[in-house]
Amino acid sequence: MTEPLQNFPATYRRFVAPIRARCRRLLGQSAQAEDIVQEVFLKLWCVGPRVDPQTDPRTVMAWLYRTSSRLAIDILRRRRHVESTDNEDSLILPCAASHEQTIAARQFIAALAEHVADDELEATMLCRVDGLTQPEAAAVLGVSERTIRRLVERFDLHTEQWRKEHMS
Amino acid sequence: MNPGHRYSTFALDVYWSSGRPPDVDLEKHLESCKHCRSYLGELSAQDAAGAPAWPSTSLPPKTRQWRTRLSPLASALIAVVAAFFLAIHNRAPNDAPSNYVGIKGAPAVQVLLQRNRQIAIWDGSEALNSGDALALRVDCAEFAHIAIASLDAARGTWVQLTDAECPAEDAPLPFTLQIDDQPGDEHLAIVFSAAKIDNHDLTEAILRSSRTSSTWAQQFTFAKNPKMP
Repeated sequence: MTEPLQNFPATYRRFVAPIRARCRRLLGQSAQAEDIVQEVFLKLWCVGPRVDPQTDPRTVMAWLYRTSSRLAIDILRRRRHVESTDNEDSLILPCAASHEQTIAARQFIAALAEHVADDELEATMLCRVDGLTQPEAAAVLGVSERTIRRLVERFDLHTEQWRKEHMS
Repeated sequence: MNPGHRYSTFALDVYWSSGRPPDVDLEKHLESCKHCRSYLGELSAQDAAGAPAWPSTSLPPKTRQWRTRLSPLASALIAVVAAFFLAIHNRAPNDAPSNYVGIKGAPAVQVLLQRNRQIAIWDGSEALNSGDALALRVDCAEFAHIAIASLDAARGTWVQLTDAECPAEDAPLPFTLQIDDQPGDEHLAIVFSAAKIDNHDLTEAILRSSRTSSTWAQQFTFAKNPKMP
């Protein structure tokens, strides 16, 4: 009845820091972000792709990104805002991600999570919060660049509508 | 990629998780990009600070015997996941021994049920099906070690399946318990202890439902749905 996963601790150690950073980017430095980190790896362990030394780390990272996105969306739909205990100025991002854009994008994602389709939210998270290019986001989600462009544009339309409604 | 390329979190995450292999373009970029240097430095700092540990464990031979006995159709399982959460009550049982010592923060166990490639927290009462898999996530509180045992109903004895050092936080334990198609309930016991204990002490802790500062035992009974013809 017991199935060991002998090499999983090494896999966990290898990928946990980036995924933890990502969950904090999406949800702020919160207890729920930490919970999602654990759940992402539990899912990797139970139902994720096989990870061995020959596995391309991009494949594993893409799977972890997709799974953390979906779990974060579930959280945001329940609470509708980014619950952060950290100073947003302390958010550390590489050069492809704009600090201001990331902060704004995650706030809009949280506000619109309940009304916007999963794929729009996932694409926007990748392009606007993580700073991925459209080809990178397309590879992570397994869709075409055109699809990514369409999803992000649609999210922008939702954002505009939301702004108008709330500003009026 | 050229040196003027801008790097995303994904690109740097893959690079960091790959052990920072030689990459001329990226290394040149890092020389002039403080943002990307800071990002990679933060990942390394988090790693050095220590993420919640995923405990390493190996299964004793007993476990394999138990698996063979209980799980003839193990290869057919995987699929189901549902999950359940059980918190161990932070109080001594009514029949607790007189030497009960209260401790700060009781240990807790979260049981996750995997069914049809879905994972959920078990409600504590849903019957299991053949092919379900259970995973355990624990908060050891102040204990350092955890052991899992099952009841050999035929002999009326508890048999240790595996044990592990407690994870730093409530990380899942690195094994799953797979449900076979044999009739009868499944009985599991989880024993937290200050140090590794032998089978005699393990059995004692289970039978006494120990809630002391040295051992803390909790039994679970999982009902099973009869096998469909």
